[in-house]
Amino acid sequence: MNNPRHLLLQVLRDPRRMSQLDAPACNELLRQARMSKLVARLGYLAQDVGILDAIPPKMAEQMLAARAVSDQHARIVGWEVNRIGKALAGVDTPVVLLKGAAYLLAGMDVARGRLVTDVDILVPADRLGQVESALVAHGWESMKVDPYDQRYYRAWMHELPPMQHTQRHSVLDVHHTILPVTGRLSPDPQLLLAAARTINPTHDAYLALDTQLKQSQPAIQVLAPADMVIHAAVHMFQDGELAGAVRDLADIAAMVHQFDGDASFWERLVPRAEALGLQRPLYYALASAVELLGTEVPESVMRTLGPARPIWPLRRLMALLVARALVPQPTLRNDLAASTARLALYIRSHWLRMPPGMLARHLYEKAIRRWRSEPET
Amino acid sequence: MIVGDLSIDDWQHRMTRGVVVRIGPFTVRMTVRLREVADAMYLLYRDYPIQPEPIVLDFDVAALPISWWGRGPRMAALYFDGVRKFDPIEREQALPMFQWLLNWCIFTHPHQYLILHSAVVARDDMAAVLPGMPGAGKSTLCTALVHGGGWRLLSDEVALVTPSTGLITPAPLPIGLKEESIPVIAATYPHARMGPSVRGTRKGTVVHIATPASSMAAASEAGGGQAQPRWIIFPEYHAGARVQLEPAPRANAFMTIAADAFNYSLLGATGYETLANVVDACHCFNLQYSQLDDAIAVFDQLASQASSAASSSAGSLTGSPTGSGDAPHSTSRGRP
Repeated sequence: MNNPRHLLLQVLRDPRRMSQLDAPACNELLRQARMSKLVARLGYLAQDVGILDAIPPKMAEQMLAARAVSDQHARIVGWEVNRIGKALAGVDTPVVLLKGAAYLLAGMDVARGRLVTDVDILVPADRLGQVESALVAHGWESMKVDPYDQRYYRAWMHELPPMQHTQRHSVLDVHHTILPVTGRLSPDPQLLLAAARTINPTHDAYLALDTQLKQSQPAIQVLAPADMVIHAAVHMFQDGELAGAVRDLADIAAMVHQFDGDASFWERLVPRAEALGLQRPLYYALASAVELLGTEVPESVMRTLGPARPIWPLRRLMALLVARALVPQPTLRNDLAASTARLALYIRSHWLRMPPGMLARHLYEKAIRRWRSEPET
Repeated sequence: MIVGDLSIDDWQHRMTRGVVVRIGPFTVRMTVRLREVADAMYLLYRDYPIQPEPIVLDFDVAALPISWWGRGPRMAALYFDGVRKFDPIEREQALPMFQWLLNWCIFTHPHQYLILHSAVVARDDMAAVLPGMPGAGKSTLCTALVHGGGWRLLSDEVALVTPSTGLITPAPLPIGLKEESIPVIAATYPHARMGPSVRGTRKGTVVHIATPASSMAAASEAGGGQAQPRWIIFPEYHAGARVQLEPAPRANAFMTIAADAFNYSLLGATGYETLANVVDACHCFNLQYSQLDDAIAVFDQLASQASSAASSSAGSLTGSPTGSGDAPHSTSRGRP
């Protein structure tokens, strides 16, 4: 863990370290943080432990400059949620914000300095059609016009093809569950929807909504705390690309830290993962947060997750791959071990997404289309 | 130490391993393993200070050859933070593309400033902002003012405005000239050092001009050489036109500059307030010209009027609420 390649992890574990770094270490930290989109977050962490004045001014300056970007994202997302509420005012459906938009509108610590590029919402599957038409009527359109892409999303994925607003160009993902329907794990989205809690956002850009509209708009909700952590774990270890995903792990650590004061959070977490059938990704997430970021997780929680652990060699292999691939490395510094780890994790992520036959067909289709479109470019 | 203090061999050697050059407030490590590009940069960056390492960097950029084992066209790749940026380029295009990469770094990162798209020149600490309408001859006029008019270059591309003070920080890069303006400048200002001309870029033939030592002196120190914006001038080159300076409506100036700025909306209310302060502090003009000497004379007249007005009654000419007089002169960077 003293490897400079893990500097970002060391600093997330102990932000005070930032005040003891020499110039080369600062440069390495900033590089890793830029690639992981965590520069603004580091600025907040430095501020929290009172060392923003004790770190090199050039580093502090870059952290504050990055904060301007995350502030802008927050403004944009607050306004987008406002507009989504307006668009769905006539539809009888709850709107559950997921990921970045949820952290932000719920006012969570993890939202500070976080970049949010698109808004993700979860709605009941039987409202999907109504929600989609209402959004289209209010200026969103599907970003995927290709029939294959449309079918790929609608038949196999857990979300509609991404939509973009024609004027604001913001991207919106409408989910009906949290994992591809073709994947190995299939949690029941009804459970998530039923436990979601309505929030009362205090966010400036969101509050710009006029009061008349507020009466008729759908309730803006976020997942219950345990579900939020489980969803982040699923997103990182089941659905997404692990390579370079320090930010995802830092999100999980920050959420766990915030919910830690609530005893019922820990009591509910593992039973909840069991009810959703998502113990394995939760195990990976918590074990990685403990090992790499020093997150404090009660012994009893890790013990109850014991049966969800993979067998020893797999567990070791996974821990090794994650540690190698998590912090992004520059292409100029060729590192065979890190690139092998990234490749292995990439293959794993696709393996988890769909059965082998379907994966082969999907990759074949993608390859054909790339080949066909080549002469045009 | 400046680049010109090194021998060209020493510079070449250092460039292959990375050398930290200061560009205005920014520390930039450049690694260039393309001999002809390093050669050209020795000329273009002669008066830029070299920073001893280790130092905390703002940008880490590189231009490296791509090897196809000796086959195919000779290509090069650009890197930011050690990661390849943009598509590979033909090696002949590497010099202008590397200059563009440096510009891109400054366009997209330092949000401690309001970053406006405009050339900026200054006389003493009074700055003229020349917003960058393409084809208006901004770079040509800027070159003329710097090489023939005794103005110093703050930047050919960006005005970096500090929100808390309203002052503009210099970050000069070699000015890029294109097409027909190249022979004009070469003939009129033979003492201006020109890099090699590169044909077939997206903007046609391009040449870069070394930043003169007189512009570098103030910009070389961190936070040094800041200037108070006093004029916003929209230049417009018209072949055969007589020189003409007309007041421009401030609201229009504001909207035009805001629409073209790099991070105006990103900064939200801060962007609005900062730009409003800049426009309030400035006289706004449209300048039509065909002869560079005539245009320089207009600038000189503005500057002498301002200095004489300043000596009789401070700030009355600008009528500015944010004149340099009451603005705090410390920078947001908090460095000595």
